[in-house]
Amino acid sequence: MHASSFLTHGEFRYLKVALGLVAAAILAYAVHDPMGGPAGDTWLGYTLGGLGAALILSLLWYGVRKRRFRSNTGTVRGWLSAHVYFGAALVVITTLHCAFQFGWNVHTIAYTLMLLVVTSGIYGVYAYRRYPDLMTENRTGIGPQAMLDEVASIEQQAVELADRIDDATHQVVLRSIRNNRIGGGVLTQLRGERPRSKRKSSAPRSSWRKERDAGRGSREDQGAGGGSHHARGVHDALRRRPARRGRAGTAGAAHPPADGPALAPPRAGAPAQPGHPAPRPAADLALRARPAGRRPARRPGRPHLRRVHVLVGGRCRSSFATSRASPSPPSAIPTTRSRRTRSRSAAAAMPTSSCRTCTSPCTTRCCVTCRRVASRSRPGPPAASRWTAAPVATGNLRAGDTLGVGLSTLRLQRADGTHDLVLDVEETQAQPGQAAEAGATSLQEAGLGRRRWAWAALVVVILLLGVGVPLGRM
Amino acid sequence: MLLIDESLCIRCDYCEKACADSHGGVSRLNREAGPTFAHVHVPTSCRHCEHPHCMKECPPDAIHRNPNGEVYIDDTCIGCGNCEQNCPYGVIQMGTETSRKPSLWSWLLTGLGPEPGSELKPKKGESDRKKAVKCDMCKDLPGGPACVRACPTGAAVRMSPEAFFEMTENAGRD
Repeated sequence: MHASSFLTHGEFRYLKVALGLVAAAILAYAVHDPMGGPAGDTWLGYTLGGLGAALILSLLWYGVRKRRFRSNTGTVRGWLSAHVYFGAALVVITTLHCAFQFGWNVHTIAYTLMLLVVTSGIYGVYAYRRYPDLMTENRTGIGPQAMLDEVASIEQQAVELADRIDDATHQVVLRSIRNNRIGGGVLTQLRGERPRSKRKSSAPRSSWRKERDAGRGSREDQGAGGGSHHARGVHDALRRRPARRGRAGTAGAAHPPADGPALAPPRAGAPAQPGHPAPRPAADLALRARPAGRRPARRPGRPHLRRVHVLVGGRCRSSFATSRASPSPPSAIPTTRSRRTRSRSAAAAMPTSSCRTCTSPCTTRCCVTCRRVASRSRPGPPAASRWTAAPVATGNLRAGDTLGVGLSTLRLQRADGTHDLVLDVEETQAQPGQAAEAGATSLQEAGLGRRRWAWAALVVVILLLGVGVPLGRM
Repeated sequence: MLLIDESLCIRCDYCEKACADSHGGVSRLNREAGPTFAHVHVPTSCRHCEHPHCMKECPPDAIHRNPNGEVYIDDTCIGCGNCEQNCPYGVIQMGTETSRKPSLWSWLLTGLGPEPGSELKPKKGESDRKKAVKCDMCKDLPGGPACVRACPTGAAVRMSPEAFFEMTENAGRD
């Protein structure tokens, strides 16, 4: 779509008007030769000053016009176009009005402040032209609320998977979820940083890394299958979360469980832990993403997955939602069994009779965890709207079947011994509109974290007020 | 139909505010919802279908089509909600319009009162009975659709379905 921008409105009508004003002002200034030299108190100086004041009033009136939704005095786009070009022309006209007579006085302060406003407007033009595209790529077709819902879904998935391992892991996951800070104050937003957790870790980060490495070794020494896959799923879920928070325009560093036990992705095909049943084949799928040459995504190797449509024999048997982007290949596809569990009841992930954090009934909402679980247990929209109610026919999957996943086609191949099924990803022809969804970026990359300009402007204003105003009183 | 060029849209939501300001404090479009095709966003707003399902089962026969093609709901709506359920795009909602007019200068200078274009509740004494509301292409406004006129960057445009399909076909070839 080639909609007319505010810069090209009316075939640059207001640009032509602004250039005419500037040219006339320059010509008059060059021709005019008053006694005592050019100054603001000559007839030309007053004329240019009056013209500048009229331009400033018209620029101010734009804020009124754009909120008068029933007004037919031109279009808002035209007003914005005039706002931009007249604001730029104002610099020349006011400079000629003052006849380049600058000094340490209130007039120069007013002139400087006007230049600051015009500079901020120039940055506004840049932002208006630059950021819409970046926001489109960043949001990938979903809104901020959907992103936050996705973060909550990933946290829920992590809790569900941690429930299958042991209490210690459950505590670690809960602690990590509680440390998940989204948003932040004004200063945090200005800095574009991720907010820090309120809870300070009782153990340093390095100690957690040591425990993680130790745990990785110990798990590799154990037997095959079982809960190791759940641990890997928990780890993957927790690793995906920071990316969501970043794209949601908020915050959040990966908060490793500082004082918890080791929680590391086990080696593929790691042996099962005693007491944990072997996972179903659906939970044992491994995704090997092969980045294609024409992938439009900025991060090769990170497939963009929203919903898996199971096409067996050319017919769509079922579909299930999955993560939007896997952290790094290979990663585990969320098990369909756990998805079905969530669709039946979100509260099934944690027993409502007792709370593992405070050992009291969750229904009392005695702590953050209880409130979180209780809020998720409320009856929300029908689960079928996001989660398929029908069982996924993964039992029918055989080597050679094809799955359609977003822009990719997944073909099932024979297992190599460590997995029951292996998926091989190939890129398909991107449909119009899907190309934008493949560009998963963060708001940090979109430039929203670049607050240095705001800080520089703030410092200049403070300097002007702190130095210029006292000088003006002299 | 209403289209938004996402390469120009700055997400100011002035289209929604203009719609609410022009229609009794109830916005009839949702800018954020809706699909996006190649940087062209189709917000949740009435498509003015060729064969409108909303016209079915309207007890007072309150839904009509203008000679210009706009499908609109007249004042005889009884608020039964049948059209809301029948709409395949989910663009009809039940809302209560009000005659309140927020003061721009009061809000601009003092910060008091609601911002122009915000969703408003009915005044005391006004009926709070909900009726079906949907986009009528601002057929009664002299300047055309308020959402398009209020867009500061020119991202919102109204386009006929034929032109839209031609545009998407051209985009597919590119």
